[in-house]
Amino acid sequence: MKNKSKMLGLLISICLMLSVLAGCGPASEANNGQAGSDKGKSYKLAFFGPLSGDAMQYGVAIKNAVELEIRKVNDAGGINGVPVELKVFDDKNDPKESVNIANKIVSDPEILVAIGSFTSSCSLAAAPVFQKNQVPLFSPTASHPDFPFAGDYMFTLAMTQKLESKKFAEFVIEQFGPKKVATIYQNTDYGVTANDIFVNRIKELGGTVTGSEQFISGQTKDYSPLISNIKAQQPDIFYVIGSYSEAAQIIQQAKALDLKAQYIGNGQLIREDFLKLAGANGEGLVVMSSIPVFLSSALEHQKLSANTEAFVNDFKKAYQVEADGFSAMGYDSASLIVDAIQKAGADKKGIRDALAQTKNYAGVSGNLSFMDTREVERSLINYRVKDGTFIPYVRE
Amino acid sequence: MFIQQLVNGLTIGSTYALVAIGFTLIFGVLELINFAHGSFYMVGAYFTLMLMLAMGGNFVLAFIISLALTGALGAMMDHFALRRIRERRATKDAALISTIGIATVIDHSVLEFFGSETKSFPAVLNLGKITVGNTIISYMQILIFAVAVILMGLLTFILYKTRIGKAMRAVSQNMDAAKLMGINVNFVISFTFLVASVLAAIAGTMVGMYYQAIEVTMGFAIGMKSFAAAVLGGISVLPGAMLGGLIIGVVEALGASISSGYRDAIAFAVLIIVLVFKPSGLLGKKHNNKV
Repeated sequence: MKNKSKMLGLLISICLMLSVLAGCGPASEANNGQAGSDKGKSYKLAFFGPLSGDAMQYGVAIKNAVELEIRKVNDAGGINGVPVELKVFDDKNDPKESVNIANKIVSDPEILVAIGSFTSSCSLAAAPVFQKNQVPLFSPTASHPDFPFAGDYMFTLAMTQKLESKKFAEFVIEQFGPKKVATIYQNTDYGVTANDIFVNRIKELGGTVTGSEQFISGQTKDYSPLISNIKAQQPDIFYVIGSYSEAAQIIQQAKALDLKAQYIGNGQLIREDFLKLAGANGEGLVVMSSIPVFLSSALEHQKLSANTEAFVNDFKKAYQVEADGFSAMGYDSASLIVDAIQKAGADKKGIRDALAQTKNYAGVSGNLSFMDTREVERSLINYRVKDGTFIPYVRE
Repeated sequence: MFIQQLVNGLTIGSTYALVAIGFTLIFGVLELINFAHGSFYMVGAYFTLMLMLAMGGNFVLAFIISLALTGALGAMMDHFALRRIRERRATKDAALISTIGIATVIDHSVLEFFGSETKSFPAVLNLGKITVGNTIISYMQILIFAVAVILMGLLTFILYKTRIGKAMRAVSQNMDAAKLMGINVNFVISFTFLVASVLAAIAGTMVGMYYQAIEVTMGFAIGMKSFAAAVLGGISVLPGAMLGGLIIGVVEALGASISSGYRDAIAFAVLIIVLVFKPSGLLGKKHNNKV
C-alpha cells in the first residue's frame, strides 16, 4: 500500500516534469509564430549583447544601430522583396548567459546570422556553439586577437590589438620617417602588448627605439623619473600608451621637463575630458585610432563621408542621442550581413563565404576589408590637437 | 641627469613629507595610525577645487574655507567616532578600524558627489621654472619643498613652545594623568585632529596644484607611501617624517631611473633594510611601550 502511493507520487511528479518540459516548446514556438507570421518569408537574424547591467549603454547603442539598418532595409522592401526580422537577446555582459543565448539561437534553424556580443569575453564564450552549428557569428566590437581564430564562422569589425599597434607603427614611420622613437606604457595586458608590437614594427621598418618605460596604473601620479630617462635619450617621437587621464598627466609633466619631441597617443585619448585635463600641453599631439569617434567638437572641423554623415543624422533623429564609434560598427555589421544575404540567400555557408570576401567596404565606421584570417583591416582615423580640439590629421 | 632625478625625487618626497607630518602628529599624540588621513588629504583638495569653481576662481578664499572645512571634518571625526571608543576604553584596534571605516565613508561620498573621473585643477600659480645646465626646477617644486619645511617648523614650535602643545605632549605621555592635572583631554585630542586635517588639506591642495589634477584615489596612493615615510623617519618624530618622506621620494626616483617597473619595490626594500637595522626609524628614539 505504502509502495503503491510512492509509485503514484513518482508517476505524478514525472508527469509534472514532462508537462513543464513540454511547456517550453509550445511557448517558444508561439513566440516565433508571433514575430514572423508568414514563416519562410523573412530572413531571420539574431542580436545579443548587454542590454542590462553596467555595459548596457554600449549594448543598447549597438542594438539601436542594427535595428536602424534593418528598418531601413525593410522600408525599402526588404532583401529581394523578403523582409528581415531581428530577434534580440540580452546577455547581461555575462559569458555564461551568452552561451545559453547561443544555444537558443542555434536551436532555431531559421536564424541565419547572429550579431554579438559587445565584449570579447562574451563573444569568445559563445563562439564554439556557433562554430559547431555552422552559424556565422558577427561581433561588431570584439577586439581580442583570439576571436577570429575561434573558428571560420567568426567575424569581427574591430581591428585586433595586434594589427592595430602594427598599423600605428606604420603610420608613424610613414608620416615622420624612420626617426628615434621612445614609448611609455601602462603595465597592463593591453599596454604591454600594444607597446611590444609597436616597438617591434618600428624597428622592422628602419626606425630606432631609444627606450620604453613602463608605469603601473594608480600607483603614482608622478612620472617625472621616467620622463627624465626618456629626455636623456633625445627621441624625435614620444608615444604615450595609457588611459586618457594618465596620458594627460604624462604629457603635462613631459612638457614641464622640456621634452622636445612629437607627442603621439592612441584612440583612448579621444575624449573631451582629455582635452580639459591636458589643457595647453595637449597642443600638437597626434592621436591614432582604429575606431571612429564622433566627438561633437571634432565634428565641427571634420568632413564626414556622405554615408557616415547620413548615419550620424539618422541615428540622432531616431534615438535623440549622438551616435558613437560602436554604434557605427553595429550599423556596418548589419549592412554587411544584409549584403551577404542578398548574394547568398538563406544559406549560412554561402553567407559566411560572402562575408569573408568583403574587401574595401566603405562603411560608416570607415574603410574595411577582411584578411584571409577573417581579421578585419581598417583604415586608421587620425587627429591632431589644435586650439583645444581634435581636428583631422593632415601632414604638416 | 642624476641631478634632475634628484630634483624629481625631492619633489615627490616633499609631497610624501607633507602628508607624513599629519600622520606623525596623530600617532605621536594617540599612538593611533589614522588611515583616514589620506582621505582628508583628498577631500581637502576637492573642497578647494569645488569652492574655487563655485566662486569664480577666487583661489585664496576657496583655500581658506577648504582648510576650515577639512579641519572641522577632522575634529568631527574625533568627536563623533573616536571619542566614544576612547571613553569606553576599547582597544586601539577598534579606533584603528574606525578610521578605515571613516576613510571608506569619505571616499565613497566624494565618489558619489563628484564622480570617479580625474578632475583638472587650474594652474592658479604659474610661477615658471629655472634651467640650470640640463636640470629643470620649477618654482612650484621649490614652493612645495618650502611649505613642507615651514609646516614642520611651525608644528614643532606649537608642540614645544605653546600651552596647547604642552597639553598635547602631556596627553601623549599619559592620558589619565593629564586629565587629573586638569587638562581637557577631549579638547586636546580634537584639536590634534583638526591640525592634522588642516595639514592634509594644505598638502592635498598643493599636490593638486602641482600635478594640475585631482582624483578620488589620490589619498590612497599617497597614504601608503607617506605612512612608510613616517615609519622610516621614526614615527612620532616630526623631523623624522620630513626626512623619511624625502628619502623615500629620492630612492623612488632613482629606482625608477634604473628600472621603471621596480620603483616602488626599490623604495620599500630600502624601508625594510633600514627597519631591520634601526627598528625605531632613522630619528626615532628607543622607548618602552606603556603597559
